[in-house]
Amino acid sequence: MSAFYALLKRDILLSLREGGTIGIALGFNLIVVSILPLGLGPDMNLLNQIAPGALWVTLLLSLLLSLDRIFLNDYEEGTLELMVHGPLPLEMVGVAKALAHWLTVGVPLSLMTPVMGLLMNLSPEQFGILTLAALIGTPALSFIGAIGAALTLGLKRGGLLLPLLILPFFIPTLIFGVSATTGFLFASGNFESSLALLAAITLSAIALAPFPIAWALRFNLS
Amino acid sequence: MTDNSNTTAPQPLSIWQKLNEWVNAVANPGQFLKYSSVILPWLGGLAVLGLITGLYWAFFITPVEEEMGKTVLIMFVHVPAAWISQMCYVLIAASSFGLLVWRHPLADVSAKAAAPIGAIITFLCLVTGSLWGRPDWGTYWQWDLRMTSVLVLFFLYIGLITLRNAIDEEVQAGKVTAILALVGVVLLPVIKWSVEWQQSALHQKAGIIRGEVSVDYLIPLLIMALSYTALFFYLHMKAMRAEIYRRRTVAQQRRLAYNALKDEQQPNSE
Amino acid sequence: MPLIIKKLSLRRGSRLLIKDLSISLDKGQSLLLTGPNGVGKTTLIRAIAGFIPPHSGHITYLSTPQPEPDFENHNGAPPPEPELIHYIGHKNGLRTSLTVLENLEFWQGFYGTASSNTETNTAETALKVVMKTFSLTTLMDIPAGYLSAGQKRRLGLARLLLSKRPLWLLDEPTVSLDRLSAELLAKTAEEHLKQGGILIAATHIPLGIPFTKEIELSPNYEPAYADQI
Repeated sequence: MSAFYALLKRDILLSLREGGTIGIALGFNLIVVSILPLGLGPDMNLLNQIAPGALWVTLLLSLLLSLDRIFLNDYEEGTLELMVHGPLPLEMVGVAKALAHWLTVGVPLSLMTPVMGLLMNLSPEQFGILTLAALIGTPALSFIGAIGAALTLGLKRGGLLLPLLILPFFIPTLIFGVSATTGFLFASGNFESSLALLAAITLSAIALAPFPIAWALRFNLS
Repeated sequence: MTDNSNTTAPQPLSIWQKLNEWVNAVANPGQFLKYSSVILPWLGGLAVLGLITGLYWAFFITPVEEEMGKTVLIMFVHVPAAWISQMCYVLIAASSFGLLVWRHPLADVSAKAAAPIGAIITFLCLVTGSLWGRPDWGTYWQWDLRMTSVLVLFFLYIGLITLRNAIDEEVQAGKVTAILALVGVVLLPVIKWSVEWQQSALHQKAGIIRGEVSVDYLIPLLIMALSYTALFFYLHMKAMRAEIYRRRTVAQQRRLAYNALKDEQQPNSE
Repeated sequence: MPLIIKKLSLRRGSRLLIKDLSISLDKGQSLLLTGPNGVGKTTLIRAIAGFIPPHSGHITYLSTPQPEPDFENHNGAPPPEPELIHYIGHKNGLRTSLTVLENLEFWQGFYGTASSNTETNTAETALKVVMKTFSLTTLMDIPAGYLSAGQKRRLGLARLLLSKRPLWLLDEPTVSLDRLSAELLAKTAEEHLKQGGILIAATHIPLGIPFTKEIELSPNYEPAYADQI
């Protein structure tokens, strides 16, 4: 367990120190959300209506940008192959790195959602629930995304290929995330079940994703 | 095998061993080339005959539908394509499992050969579905459950093909693509189910299962489904054979280059 | 013999680099791999390290003395456990934005073994000893990115002492090392062998220790396929 903790601590430290990944993710999110109303025209009612969906889609895209970083630096430096000789199974290396990605990208992006909500004229009642749903849903994105990062490791255009492979797998999280955010406002009864399903998808992703991650890493290190 | 084998009773095989033996027998490339060359003409004939019969039946024997008119004929092209597009993905997933568990190259050949065929049939399904929906929906595209799932399936096919093309080393490409195929087969039902959950279906429910389609349609539809299946397996076997011959040619060429090198290194070999 | 390599063939791409190699090493023995570039030294070392599966044949490590394993049926012939191996490849495995100390601290925490030396008992003193051995003490607060190639190599090699492992696999360890550092490495390697460790090294430049065995690999261009069909 100390190895897991050491790896997690290092990845978080590196992300804070190098700063690029999270800065790009937050900046990208902000700029896409700002550009949407310019494209759609400043109709506040329209923005209010599409806000939950638009905010979730931009969240997905911003998170997607940083996914290839999960393993790439360690792979290029030769650190990843040395981790094979540690006491930690490769599955757990994958868990530690996906978790670090969530903590350093998923959490800040989720916490930023109220600011984005302001720009999209999201109803104030929905701010809290959007942040909550994002916090519950984004771990699934980090873990499923880590599969894609492991699959495309070492490819010349891996960073471009990754969204193509992984975005379809984000659909369930997107649907339940949006449903939780809108369901809360209309009290349609979908709200609780959406949050529960969002959590179920996150938990299943955490439980299952480490295996394909470790397979893919093994194949790509040989 | 020693010659005392007839004195000792053969050990009963476990199910796993039997399965392994069966896999090895079926998946032997040489055997595959042999039996596929026998099956192929029959499959091709069946596909052509079935397609002609099915289409003739649909166009000239089936009475014209009152409400939907001629557009209902698209169903005979669209519905079987939807079936095959899913069956093909299941086949890829099964082949990928076979590759990762038994490490059998023929499983990789099967998965590799199936992906482009699946992508094309899925694309056909999307186009015909959109044309069929036009008079009904008033638009060419509707985000209903079935069209959306087929679209996602199409993305998965494109992902499989692109990922395989991006990796230079053939063996590694096969393994990595197999992982993606297996991840896809787990997540596809979840995606489909989540889309279903999101929307009340606007499209017709899957009719065959609920027995709503009249017998007039059912018979030609089944003939079309059968012919599509035959056509798919015909194309798949053809593509597998081509891939096997391609790999053998590459191996042969490398062998020749190596032999030439050996001759060069031995002076006065004549 | 703890380390047994039996009829090992290795493939890289579609080339059979190593063909039917058999060798075994006892505790305290060392093996030198020589030969021109691209001959398969790196592939062999990476195969023993467990990264590349053998095309055919076996690599086995027996931690306890036991009779010769049954290679035909894969009985009692386990590949080396990852945790017994120290692998030094071409890349040093350093994060450039971490300082020398932080890099070492991470590997110490990751390997989970606090002491490399029986006399030291705390993680901190163990680190100090390691840094002193490889003369990194004055560099400890400098980010690894600012180090020279030789200093980086030294830092990469320092991992050897962070946890005690019997099987050392060194691929061109002396690359970009100055003479003094190479001598340090030789001393460390000798100490390792004296304590019953095994060492396999591929190198152009003499390491300065007497090797027990040596294999000179020669080029093999024979084609081979994993997906033979």
